[in-house]
Amino acid sequence: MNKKLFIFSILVLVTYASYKATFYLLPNFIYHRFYTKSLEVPDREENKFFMLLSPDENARAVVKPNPDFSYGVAFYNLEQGALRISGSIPDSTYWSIAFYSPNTINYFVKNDQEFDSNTFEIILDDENCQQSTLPSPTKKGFILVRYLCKNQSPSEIEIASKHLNSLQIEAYSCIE
Amino acid sequence: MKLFIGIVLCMILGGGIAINELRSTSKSVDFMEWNGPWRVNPTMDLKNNKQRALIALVGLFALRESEVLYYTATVDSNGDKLSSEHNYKLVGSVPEARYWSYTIYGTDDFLIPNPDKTYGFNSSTIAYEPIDSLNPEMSHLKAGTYELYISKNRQEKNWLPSGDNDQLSITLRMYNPAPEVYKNLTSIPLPEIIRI
Repeated sequence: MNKKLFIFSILVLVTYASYKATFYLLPNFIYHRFYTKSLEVPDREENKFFMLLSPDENARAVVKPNPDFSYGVAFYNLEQGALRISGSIPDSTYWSIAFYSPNTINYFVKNDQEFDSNTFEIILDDENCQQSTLPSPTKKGFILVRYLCKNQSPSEIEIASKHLNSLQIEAYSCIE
Repeated sequence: MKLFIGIVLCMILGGGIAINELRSTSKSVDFMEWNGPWRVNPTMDLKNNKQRALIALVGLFALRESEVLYYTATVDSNGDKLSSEHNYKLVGSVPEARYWSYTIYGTDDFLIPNPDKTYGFNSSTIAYEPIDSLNPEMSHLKAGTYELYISKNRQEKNWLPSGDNDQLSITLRMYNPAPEVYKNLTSIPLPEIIRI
């Protein structure tokens, strides 16, 4: 009887632990699937931006896309050291840059109105680089730049494309 | 061997219950607040694993609430699920935010195919109700109200095509909302969703 009760308790415990673990691990699993599928596309690699212009019904990589936005997307990797992320900022529409860790936590976001000029530079690092302007909680992560194209006109998307094309990720040498 | 199989089955069961709970609207909203048929995350509490899992599942790469508020409706104002079997009308006023938009999604949480490629409306693309500026009773209106129509079939204006979907959802995004919005998440004026 005691043995049966013990086994039953073990099974209940395992069920509960799996239930809790699913909540904890699901974001990483979804992120990893997105990461793998995204980098299967030729010419895409870590530490390099690619563009997703004006999502429509064929945009199936991320649920609930906002069709008003064009996106600059990059997977960063700090294993080789700090990174310098730079680009231009539009002056007449909403724009933001957001950083996510692989558990999908948005640990940083800054929009166009919070920058002082029409260009930006962020030094991203996960260690003790003194010049770092943004500490990353993890070695790897995800950057999403949102550019609002309210009317989705060809001229608007062309301008968005120019801004998103200006996004760069370069290796950065920290000075001790 | 039996014990091992039992453990594996229990692991699958635990995971299945968790996924089902996240998928089930009624069980996954304990950390959300309601404003009519709309629900919103008052805080993106990142320490709450269940909330983080839900966001990853239905709104991957959402921004924190200080930047954007996401109001979502999956039911109409009577509490019945939104479905393309029915037509709906939303009557709203301009939300207090730097940029706002309504977007409709299908059962799979993706944009709904349609010949016009219309997936939503924002402050620039929406057609406002005409306001007679010479009518003193209307002079207090800063901006017009608008009507949105959700239907399989073409509507004259502000038509959100609903395709063929058992479950629809509408997301109202408010980027950089006014401070008053945060103080009144559950009482700011949001559109009723009326089945017509």
